[in-house]
Amino acid sequence: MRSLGRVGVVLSCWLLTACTGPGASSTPSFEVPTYADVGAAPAALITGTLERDGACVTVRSPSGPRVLVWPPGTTARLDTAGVIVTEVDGSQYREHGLYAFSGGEYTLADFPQAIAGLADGCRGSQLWYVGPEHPAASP
Amino acid sequence: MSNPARLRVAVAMIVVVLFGGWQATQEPVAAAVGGSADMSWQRDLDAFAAYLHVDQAEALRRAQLEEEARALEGYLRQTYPLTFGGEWIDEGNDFGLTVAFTQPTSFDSGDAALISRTKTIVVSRSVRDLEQSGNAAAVTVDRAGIPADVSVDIRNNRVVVAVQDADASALIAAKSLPSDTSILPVEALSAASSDIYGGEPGGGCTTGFGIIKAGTGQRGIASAGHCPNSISIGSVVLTTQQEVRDVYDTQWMLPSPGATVRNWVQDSFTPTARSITSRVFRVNQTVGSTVCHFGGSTGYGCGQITTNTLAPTSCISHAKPIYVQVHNANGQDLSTGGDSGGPWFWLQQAWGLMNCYAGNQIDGIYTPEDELEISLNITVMTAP
Repeated sequence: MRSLGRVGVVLSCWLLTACTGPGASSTPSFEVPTYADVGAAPAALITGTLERDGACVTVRSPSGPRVLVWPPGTTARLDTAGVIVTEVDGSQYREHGLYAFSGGEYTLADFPQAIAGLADGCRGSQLWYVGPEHPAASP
Repeated sequence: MSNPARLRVAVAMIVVVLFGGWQATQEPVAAAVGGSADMSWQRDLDAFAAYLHVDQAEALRRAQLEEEARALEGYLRQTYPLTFGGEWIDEGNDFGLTVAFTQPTSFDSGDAALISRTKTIVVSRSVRDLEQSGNAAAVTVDRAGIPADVSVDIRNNRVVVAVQDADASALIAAKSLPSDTSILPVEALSAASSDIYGGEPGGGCTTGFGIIKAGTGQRGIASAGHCPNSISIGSVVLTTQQEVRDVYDTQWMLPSPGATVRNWVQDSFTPTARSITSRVFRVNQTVGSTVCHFGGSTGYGCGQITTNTLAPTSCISHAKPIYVQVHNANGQDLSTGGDSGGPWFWLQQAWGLMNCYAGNQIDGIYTPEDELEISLNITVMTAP
């Protein structure tokens, strides 16, 4: 009984720490698809606004929406203004913002790498491989 | 001096200048296609004689009559602005001139040879009225958002509005055009004539070489497969006809009607572009060779080949080891977003088409020329 009590105390403390410790965020996380390896990347460019269509984060350009597939390590979260995507180097992209992304247009069938975190509802869409290089000229 | 007499003198002067060998003091104009400016009128005369199926002497005689007829039209427009109904030349078996007025009119053309070949008729509308109606018709279709070619048909004394078949019935039903206007349904309207060639930025990519599709002979533009399927370059719209992914990353695109595909690439040095006159295959693209490119983002740049057996599978899913990587030892960026599809070249040789930037984010990676052709069953243009 005492050992159970100790376990309960330890468990409670651990849970409290997990909820209130440093780095914890009160904003819900949001999954964006990423590819595995940073190597050679396609050298096209797309300019458009970052939008959220259900579970899909897209770039909306005059030629239509493309689901963005991000470099490895990219994370995303939701706040009151919408989704915020953060790359490994700290670059941030906010919903409704206007951005230029290097990379190229693919379908799921010809995407050159395995994709992690692509929601089922986004699989039939045109994809944009977000290259690791940030365009020199931003909108 | 009377007006007809002045007219005869003016025409005589024009004829002498054009055909009499009067040596003017101006500098000869450089001919755009070679040859001297002095021979340009001879070329025109030769073409005119061939068109009429006559000898040079007869062609010269008819050319002189045409010159006089043109001068006469200017005189009649100025002298009879409210009643002049137009003038037209009919070559036919012999030179013939028709002059129209809205009422019977006698005039002195001042030249016996011209008078004997001139017929005068009466028509309903003056040129001034027809041109005003034409302007009104152009404004009407423009406001209605209907693409149209509006013209004055002088021979039939009417305004013609040419529209595509689908728009014709709507235009007729609207009854919004002037009463002296005829609606002509056509298959296609006039289109802007534009040159299209390699190295032009558009759609987030750069155009590749002018190409010819095997079998059909269609002329188009090569690009990278991951570039958009519709790209606008000025007034020209390029539309994907064939795309090959997986092993390759290539596509070719057809320009909108009226565009002319050229065997040129822009390189930012020449006023327009340089001509491509030959192709170099991968086996001849030796490691260490210098090769240059033009990209919509990085512009003109050159480097040395580091490998011609690269398989960039992080960019092209099942790439074979046939791709070429180029590095600039000074650190110049040879490839970034916007450069895809662009040409790689050396002098006037086609070497390849840009696909990727390398992991170091400055090297360029391209499909060598022969692999580009194999992937799409095309040939890169090396002549106009």
